[in-house]
Amino acid sequence: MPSSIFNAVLEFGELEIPVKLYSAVEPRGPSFRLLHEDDATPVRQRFVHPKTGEAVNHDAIRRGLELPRGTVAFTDEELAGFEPAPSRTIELLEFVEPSALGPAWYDRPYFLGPTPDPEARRAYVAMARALAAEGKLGLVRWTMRKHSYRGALTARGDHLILISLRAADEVVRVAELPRPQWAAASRQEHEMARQLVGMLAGGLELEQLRDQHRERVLEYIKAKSEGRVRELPAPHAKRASAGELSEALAASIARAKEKKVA
Amino acid sequence: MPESPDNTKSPERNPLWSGTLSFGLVTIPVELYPAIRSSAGVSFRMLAPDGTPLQREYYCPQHERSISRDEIVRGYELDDGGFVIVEDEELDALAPDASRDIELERFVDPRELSPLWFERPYFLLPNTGVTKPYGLLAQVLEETGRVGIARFVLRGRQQLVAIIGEAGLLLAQTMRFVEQLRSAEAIGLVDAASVEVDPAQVEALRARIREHSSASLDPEELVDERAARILARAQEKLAAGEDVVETEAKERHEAADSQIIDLADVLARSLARPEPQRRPRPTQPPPGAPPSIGSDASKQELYELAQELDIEGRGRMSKTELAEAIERAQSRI
Repeated sequence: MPSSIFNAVLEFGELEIPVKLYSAVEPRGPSFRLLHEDDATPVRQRFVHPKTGEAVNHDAIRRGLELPRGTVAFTDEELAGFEPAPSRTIELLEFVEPSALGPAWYDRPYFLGPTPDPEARRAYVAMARALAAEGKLGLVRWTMRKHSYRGALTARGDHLILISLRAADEVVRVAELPRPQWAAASRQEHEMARQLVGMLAGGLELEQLRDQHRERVLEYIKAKSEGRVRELPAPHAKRASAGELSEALAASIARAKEKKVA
Repeated sequence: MPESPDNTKSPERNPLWSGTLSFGLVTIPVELYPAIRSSAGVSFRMLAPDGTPLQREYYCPQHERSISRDEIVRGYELDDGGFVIVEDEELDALAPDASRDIELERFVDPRELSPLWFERPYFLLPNTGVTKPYGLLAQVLEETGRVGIARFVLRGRQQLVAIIGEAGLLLAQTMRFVEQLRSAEAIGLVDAASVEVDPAQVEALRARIREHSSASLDPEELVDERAARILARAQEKLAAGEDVVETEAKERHEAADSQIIDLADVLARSLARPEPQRRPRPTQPPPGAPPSIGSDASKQELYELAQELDIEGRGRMSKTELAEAIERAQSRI
């Protein structure tokens, strides 16, 4: 069983629920490194002075922040001073509808697990049920590993999930891009497209969507390491739809109908 | 990098992936661009004690010389400690169709998508010329409120992706496969059925949740406080003439929002509108300098190297953090 990565206290006003954080993600193999092509030696990194070409020792390096009007140097000690004060509190700030956060904002998910104390467990499950019943996300703030985070707290079954969120300036939002004016489709094309989407609509069934490619990759790596490599077909690009959009849509609908009947 | 179906692509356009998006028998040439701003947060230049900006370079410990990006390949680790070099092209060939085409298998209700699954956001933009079906799909997705689900191979790895229509654009959100998520059972979380919950406590909490609910969330609330404080302190130092270092103007980084400019450029080309004013590209390293990953385009190259190594959280890292993470991944003996 994986061990928790952080012990914390979920704080909601006066209510304090001790919790443990667990990563919710199973790392996806295979693992790889960067190699020098000639001899497969793992590459290393270093900093050199542009004029002398000599490597500069890590301790001697200063960090410069470039501003439009000049560059300012910071020492490692100064930068360490900007780290948030260590804290074990996961502070609940407010609650919002799930639709308030688009998919782009979500970064890393964690499970929160309760501690063995019976009162803590009751409070934990009560919190999960209350959150689920209200259908809301809790916006939280916490500090971990010298970083401060914002996250979304949500319930899944009777468990609490915490997902770290990206910072505002990390995500390019649609509103920041110019609104395009595409060539308009005809009413008929529009109707057919809607019909086609309707015919291909269905439930997600995530269980059925597997990573088939990974198995092939692992086999291929093994085969290659044993010198058994077979000639693989070069990937080919698809052409743009042949003929008019309306023809492609009509043919798609016909094909989708056949599949349903079959 | 996969070949673009459009050979007339300008060299400045650099999508992460290009291919086609298909639904039914409708095929749309598209390009994939990250929606995560690689220039977010604070990013530091490494300086020598005399204040000269240093050049970052990769070197081979065996040959004891610096090596260029072209000489670096990705190697998969074997159990015996050896490596097998496998190029993206080989991995793409293991799924010849899926590495060139995003085929929409079904259209689902977005409420079925759990935020636990969301990985990385991208923009899917049309390759120049074929825009009517693109615009139509974006429109229909937005109108019906459905998202398209597909699987495709990106950089040698299969991705599960949700295609979303918004404001006339298509967004692609990669999602984790079921195998990539741990279950509560696997972690050993307690079975709640064994816990006696007080209904009054649940009701009290529900009431407090309602009291503390907001109608909406301004993304600006999601701030990187550390970055803001460092920038403020840097401004103070600059104004006081403290620790100010001389650097030549041409060595400075690209403007923070080059990403928006690039995306807007791509859109503009598709719409055949006049291009927005381009900001000048950084200059090349001086001749005679060792071939290096170097200061120009270095954040982008570091990001690519971090991608090769599939470093978690790379989207939120500054340039320094990327370099450090790459170093850590490489330092495992």
